[in-house]
Amino acid sequence: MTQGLPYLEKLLIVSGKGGVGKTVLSSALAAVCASSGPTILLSLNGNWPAHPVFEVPVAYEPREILPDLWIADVDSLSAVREYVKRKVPFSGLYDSFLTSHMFRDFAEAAPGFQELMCLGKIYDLVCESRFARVIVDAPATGHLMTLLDVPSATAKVVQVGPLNHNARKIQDMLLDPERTRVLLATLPEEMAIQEARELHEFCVERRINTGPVLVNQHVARRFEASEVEQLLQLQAADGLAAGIRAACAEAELAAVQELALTGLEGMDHLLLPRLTTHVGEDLIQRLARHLSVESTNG
Amino acid sequence: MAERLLNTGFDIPAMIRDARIIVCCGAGGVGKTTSAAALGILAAQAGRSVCVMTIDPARRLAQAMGLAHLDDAPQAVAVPNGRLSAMMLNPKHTFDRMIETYSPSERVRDSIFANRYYQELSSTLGGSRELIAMERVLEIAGSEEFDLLIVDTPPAQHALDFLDGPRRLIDMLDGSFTRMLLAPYGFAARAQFNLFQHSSAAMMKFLERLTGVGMLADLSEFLLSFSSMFEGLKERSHRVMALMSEATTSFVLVCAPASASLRQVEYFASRLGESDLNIGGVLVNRVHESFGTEELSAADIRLLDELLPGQVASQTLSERVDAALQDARALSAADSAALHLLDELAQARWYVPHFNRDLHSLDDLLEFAEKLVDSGSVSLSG
Repeated sequence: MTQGLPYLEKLLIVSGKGGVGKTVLSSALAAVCASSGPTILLSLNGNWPAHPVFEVPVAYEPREILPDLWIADVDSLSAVREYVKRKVPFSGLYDSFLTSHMFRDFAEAAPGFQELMCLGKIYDLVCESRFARVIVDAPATGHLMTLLDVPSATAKVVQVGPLNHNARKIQDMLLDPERTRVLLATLPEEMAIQEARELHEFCVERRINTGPVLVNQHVARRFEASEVEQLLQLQAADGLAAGIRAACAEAELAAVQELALTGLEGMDHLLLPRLTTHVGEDLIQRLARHLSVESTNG
Repeated sequence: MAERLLNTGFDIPAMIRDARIIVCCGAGGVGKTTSAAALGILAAQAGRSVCVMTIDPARRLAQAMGLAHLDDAPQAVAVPNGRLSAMMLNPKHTFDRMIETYSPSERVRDSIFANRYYQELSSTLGGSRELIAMERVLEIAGSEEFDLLIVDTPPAQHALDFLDGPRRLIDMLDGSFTRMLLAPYGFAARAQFNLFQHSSAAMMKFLERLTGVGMLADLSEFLLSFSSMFEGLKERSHRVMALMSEATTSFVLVCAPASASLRQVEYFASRLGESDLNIGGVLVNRVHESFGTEELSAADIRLLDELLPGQVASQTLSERVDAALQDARALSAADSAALHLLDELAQARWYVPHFNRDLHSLDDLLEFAEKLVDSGSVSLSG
């Protein structure tokens, strides 16, 4: 697994419809990237007792869980605290402000403030030289779109000062095709593909570098059309044989997926096989192998 | 509270007959919208007048209902033998209307609408989406038009954002920061004199340093206008909480048979329990069929290998059929292993099988509804 990925941007953001496997796919991407340099995998306000894939505790402080693979959860409150500490590097009075109700209320009350702070933390990590890659396990499509619009909206609302400056820096990073790429995760299903398309159009409109579509849980055809026909006849004659029924069901699924995938026409995409392994490191390693093999082929 | 202790679990016919509100919650992509729509169909067919409300920004229920677009106002859905309506929340629209309703004056209303924060960033104001949803729930629950409202909540990543969001927003408006902003206008109690004023001036300086000059002035204007609606919002929020705790409100936890989704159900269930809310049950969606334990017999293999094989494959047909069977069983075994996470939960569970296709026509929804009623027929392996 030394091939790595064909995308050179330092910041890779993975989003898509809920339930398509963003966490699994971003974990697999991170595992691929870690083989060619220090990589950090970020979740946003994941609030997990443990990472669902790597099953390790995740905190705001980056932690190396495998060689060159780091993990962290960017929660808004910690991001806000860090920003404040840097902007106002005094202890004493300011410390007490920071922990006061009034400050917490302010952070809740200012629309977009927490989102901007989270993006700011991602920006900082992208600037850090100790990481070669930053992979973001982003929120689902609709939420990510809101998030990506926060810097430009903030810059419009707050026209001078540190917040404006920050918003602009972040916006520059998001729009820089050499630094940022949004990867579109989907299942080979019509509605998930439609959301991937919507996100793609959103990114194109705002000139955010995007693609390819990562198609999770693809079931390849195992039977040819003539075979399926004969299997269906057998099933009709002897409906109870489990093997025949399983084969027919799988063939149907493969055909349905094939049809759904026509929705990706004209879009760069990568098919990742449905694996029957339990979620966990084994699944990640296998997916990672596919991601890097596929990328060397494509 | 006695009724709640007698809750017999996820008895769909009873829930559909008795509930006034059903709230479907769960992570994104587990089939909340589909479940809400299917429950709506069943209830409508049982003779109730039902409205299904979705808050999802992706217009999925609209697709599922076969409508080009759903509106903020309930629209009739052509369900055989029943009266069903559906609506999709338009957050901006409802937010605007809320402000129209609760603004104490036209001047306040106009200043909110004109405020740059409101125009650009109101969608990121924490809890606003949930507050809006709650507002609409109250409006519809209070109307005579429907006797059952089914709510498809926004995907909640943490706890019960749907319930916590409005409270957070109200707390914020009632919080010390907003009160500090109100102080110069003379609303703050004068008794809090020196110390408070001194520290709030320092706080202002501190925040200004953080954000930039001018930002706070705009933000205060926004929050000040907003908090003048406070009493109205607070009262509504209490009424929603009261509505949610009634015995005729049922929460349905929708999930997929995957460990991340099931862990969330555990968490939701404990949170709902703490708040003394009524859990109708757990709906496990997309469960893979087990395909029993019977292996391909020698006769099956002979039969398969006598068929006319295709041109390309390197394996015989029977080998490939066997591989498909083993894959299907592995998927089912993975489901069963994950479902052990629910062992500790007392609530009833209903299983809906994995469909090979997307469900986005009315017929699909009718089929889903049928499987839901029929849920006992899904057998799990192991």
